[in-house]
Amino acid sequence: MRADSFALPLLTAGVFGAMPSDAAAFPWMIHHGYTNCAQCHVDPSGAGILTDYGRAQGEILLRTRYADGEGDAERLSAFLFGAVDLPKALELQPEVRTLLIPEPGNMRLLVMQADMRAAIQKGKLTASGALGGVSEGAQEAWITSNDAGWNLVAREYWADYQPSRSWQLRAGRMNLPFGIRTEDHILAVRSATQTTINDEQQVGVSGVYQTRKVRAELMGIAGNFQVSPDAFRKRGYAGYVSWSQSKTLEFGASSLLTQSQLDTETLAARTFLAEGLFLRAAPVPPLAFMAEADFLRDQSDTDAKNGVVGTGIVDVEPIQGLHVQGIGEYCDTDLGASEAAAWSGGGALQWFFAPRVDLRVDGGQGVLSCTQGASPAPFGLLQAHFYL
Amino acid sequence: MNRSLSRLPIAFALIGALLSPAANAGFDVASGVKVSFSATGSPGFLDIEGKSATMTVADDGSKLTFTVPMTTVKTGIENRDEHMNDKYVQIAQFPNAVLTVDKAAITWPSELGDKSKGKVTADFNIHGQSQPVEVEWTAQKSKTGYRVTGSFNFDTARSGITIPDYLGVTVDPKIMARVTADLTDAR
Amino acid sequence: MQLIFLLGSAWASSAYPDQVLTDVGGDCTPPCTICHATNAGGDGTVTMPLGEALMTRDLVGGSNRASVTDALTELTDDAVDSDGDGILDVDELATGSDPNPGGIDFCAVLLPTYGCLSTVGGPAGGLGAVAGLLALALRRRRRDPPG
Repeated sequence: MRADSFALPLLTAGVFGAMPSDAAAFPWMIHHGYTNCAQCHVDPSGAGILTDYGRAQGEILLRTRYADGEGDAERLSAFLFGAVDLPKALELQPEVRTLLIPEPGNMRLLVMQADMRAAIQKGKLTASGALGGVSEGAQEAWITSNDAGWNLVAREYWADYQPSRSWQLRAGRMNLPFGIRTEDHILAVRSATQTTINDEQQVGVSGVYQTRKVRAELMGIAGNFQVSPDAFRKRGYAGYVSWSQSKTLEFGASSLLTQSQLDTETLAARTFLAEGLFLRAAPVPPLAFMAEADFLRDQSDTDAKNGVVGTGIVDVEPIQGLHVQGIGEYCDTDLGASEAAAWSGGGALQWFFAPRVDLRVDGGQGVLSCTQGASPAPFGLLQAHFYL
Repeated sequence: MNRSLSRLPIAFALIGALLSPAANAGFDVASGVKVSFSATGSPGFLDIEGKSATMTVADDGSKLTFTVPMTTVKTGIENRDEHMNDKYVQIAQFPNAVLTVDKAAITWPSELGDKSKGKVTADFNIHGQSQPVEVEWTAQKSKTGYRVTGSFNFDTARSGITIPDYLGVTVDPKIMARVTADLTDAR
Repeated sequence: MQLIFLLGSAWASSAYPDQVLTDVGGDCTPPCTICHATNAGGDGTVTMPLGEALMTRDLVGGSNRASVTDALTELTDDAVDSDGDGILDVDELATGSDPNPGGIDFCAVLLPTYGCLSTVGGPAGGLGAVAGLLALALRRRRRDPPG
């Protein structure tokens, strides 16, 4: 690959600034001793709108700090930097994400996310949702049906009742509880198991259980009601349970089973099973390690395939806010077919260089989205992320 | 001066030393100090652990007094440590956490390698206020003294510490303390 | 060797099936599986011979409808027959048949419809809907008692 093939993209990304990455979900926070997600996220399994505490941690722990006594974390992390005082029960989080694709001859600007996220918490009740627009993609979250341009999207909308400290009952359209929740929706384990937080949310009911050492969520899936007709809606369940051996070591297991008369990807009847294990560890302070391996069984009326997918990520934070990642993946969606297996590898540099903003550069070689039959190819990705 | 009179101060000092409880002529901390305070935050059962490797022990013959300077206790997040020290534990006024235990309540094994264990009611002072605590202890005879461990629960509310509350995250007032140390025995 | 700048099924070229229908004629919109491994589409997932043939004729991802038209024109000029059944790919597409090996009659296939509302007619309509809903939400926002 020519060295100057990234010069224009990097320059262009710098000029246009901000880009996409999905909603913030950083599993490497385990190296700060956060095995649980619910302190920082309104969704007890992570991602989505942040709590006040989560916003403050974005200031205190996430981003690079340049001087001692560098501003008050509470003020800097507040909604619109404190310009507007929200009622205590209300959280608002506008997020704008655009992606500039610097492909020679096909340069284009996408708006992947222009969401207003909101959450209202009152006593034992919480309601949360996100409504926004995209210029391309995220079809499974569409509200409008405009093939040729912008669409209104609603990725999440749910209500939560917490009768006790350990239990929560949730209902609505939610991220599927499975595996390591991460913003990186192109990881093989997320795309192959159909559990990304991009647009693969489902409507259902879930129960959440948490203690100091254990967290778990089990969701009954009623389907994606933003897809028609009903034949295309999946029914089933998804869930995980994890155990924290210590503040810096967590083991987990996940299971998912869905069935639909017709599948939006295969256009045929589909029963899909995924079962796996995951691990998060932070053996020494600047280092975090995340791994997930899943068994897949994909069955139609005429065919059944067994597969495996695995992802391993090493994250090093040499200075606060700067993450250097190595990512290795293996994907084989059909163990019975010799051409189905693929290795992918790459690296990423992610820098939380200012309040609410991060930049990320990815590069590597591999097969995207665990696509059976695709040939490995080099890839590069430029992102930035901003929220208010 | 008469030579016998000039030796009186020394004699009195020696007699005094023999008769009075030795201030630190018994146990002392040698090494291997691990102190932790484990708290749980809410929501989400946030696991907060403050650790220290600094502890002194004073032995007046009847009581062992373990003292941990709270400035040495770190949770891994500087901002959190500042809040804890300045706002809640108020270490400027109350710098130490102190556990006082009756020596006689502990069975000290005599043979190298032997281990004893038990429970003892002790006095725990933090934030300038004391409360009785039940300590589960072990003591193992080593070449230089004893390897001791202790753990106990205490209630910060009983010591007048305001329940920490930071942007919606609170800390359970029930905290578990754990101590491990190698003590030398100069008896 | 293809260099992929963009990743993920999030960036499916959802306008392309309609463009294919417009360019080749016929009665029904083809599914994304005429080019992609699955109907979800996405960069880096073109595995079908028809899709590969179009990409070698400069078809690019995204919303570049002109590249679809140009690539199909070249496909016709080059008389490409991906499944070797003697019927050109563009002719098969016009009859509602998937021109890849083992391809099915896609007119008989039920395709999913995404979204809850009817098409609101382009970027302005979509943004207008977002703005309207936000205005409604802000107007209805209740204040909690202080403290």
